[in-house]
Amino acid sequence: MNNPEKSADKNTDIARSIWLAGLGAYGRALDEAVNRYEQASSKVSKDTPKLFKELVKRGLELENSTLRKVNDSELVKTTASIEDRLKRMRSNLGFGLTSNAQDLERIEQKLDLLMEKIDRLLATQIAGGAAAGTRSVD
Amino acid sequence: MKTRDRILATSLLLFNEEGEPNVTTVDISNEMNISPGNLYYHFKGKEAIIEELFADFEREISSILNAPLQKALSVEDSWFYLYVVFEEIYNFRFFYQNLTNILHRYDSINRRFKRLMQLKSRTVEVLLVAVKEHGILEIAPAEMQQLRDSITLTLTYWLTYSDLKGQHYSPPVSIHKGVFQIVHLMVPYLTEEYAHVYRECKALYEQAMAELDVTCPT
Repeated sequence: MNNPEKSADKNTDIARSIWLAGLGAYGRALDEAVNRYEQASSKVSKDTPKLFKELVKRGLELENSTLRKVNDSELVKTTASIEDRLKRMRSNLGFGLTSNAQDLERIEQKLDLLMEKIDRLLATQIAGGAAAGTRSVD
Repeated sequence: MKTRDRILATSLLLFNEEGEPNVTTVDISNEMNISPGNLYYHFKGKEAIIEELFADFEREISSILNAPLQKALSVEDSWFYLYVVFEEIYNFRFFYQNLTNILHRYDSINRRFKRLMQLKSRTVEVLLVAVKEHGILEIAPAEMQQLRDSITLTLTYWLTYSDLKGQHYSPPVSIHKGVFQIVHLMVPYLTEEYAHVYRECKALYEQAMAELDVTCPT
């Protein structure tokens, strides 16, 4: 049996540790860099640009992956609201279409009108046929 | 709206609000400003109204439960699907608030309601089998039946239970809580690979609560 909540907590802990370690590394690297930079400006040193380049490269990588992760976690929040998604599910299932009953009523009314017209037409046809004998009604 | 449909809509409203045993046909006609005679012309008593309302409920919930669900419903779709089932029960909650009483009094509803319960249970099982085959749940067949029954039980009585607890949440809040409760029933069987399913559900739940302006205890 595994407990996702627990593992979620564990993941959060790990993430926090990484974050803190990153901050620590940043602080140390900054000290180191400032130190080296000062040395470099006093006496020309070859490894200053190398360390800088490495740090910047690593930093860029980290920045990209961090941004990607932040975007991923925000994805859920940026999609449609719960209510909109519910509406979609209701209509998928054929529900939440409140106009259904009214539509049916409108169709019924139209049918009633149609039936009336047909009845009237039939009545005049029969009456016309009876009056004119053989003449057909157009 | 035709008088007949208005009688049904008003009855449903009053039954849900006041409880079915407390509402008489006179109450219904008073509420509608029509004479009891007019109501009697359409329905020969409360029993006829209740049977017609049950037929409506039966038709609607059966079509939800029989809906051709995609083989692998996404986590989100499953959440909203369960929500709609709860919502349908909420719309006809007077049956559930007085279930034993109503089933005792109306024999035909009794039989049909039991068929509905079987359908509900079967739908839950189909869903569970689908998620199991997908590798989301790891569960033995015997435990599967227990889980199916627990979920069906929760689906049937959650809203009544919610009322009994006396927490006056709005219906959408109660329903989201019910869905989350069902998710928790499945948590012990989630495979390592799909542990994130729980986090996704939790995120959905929290978003729903935030949109409904409820601060959820964490």
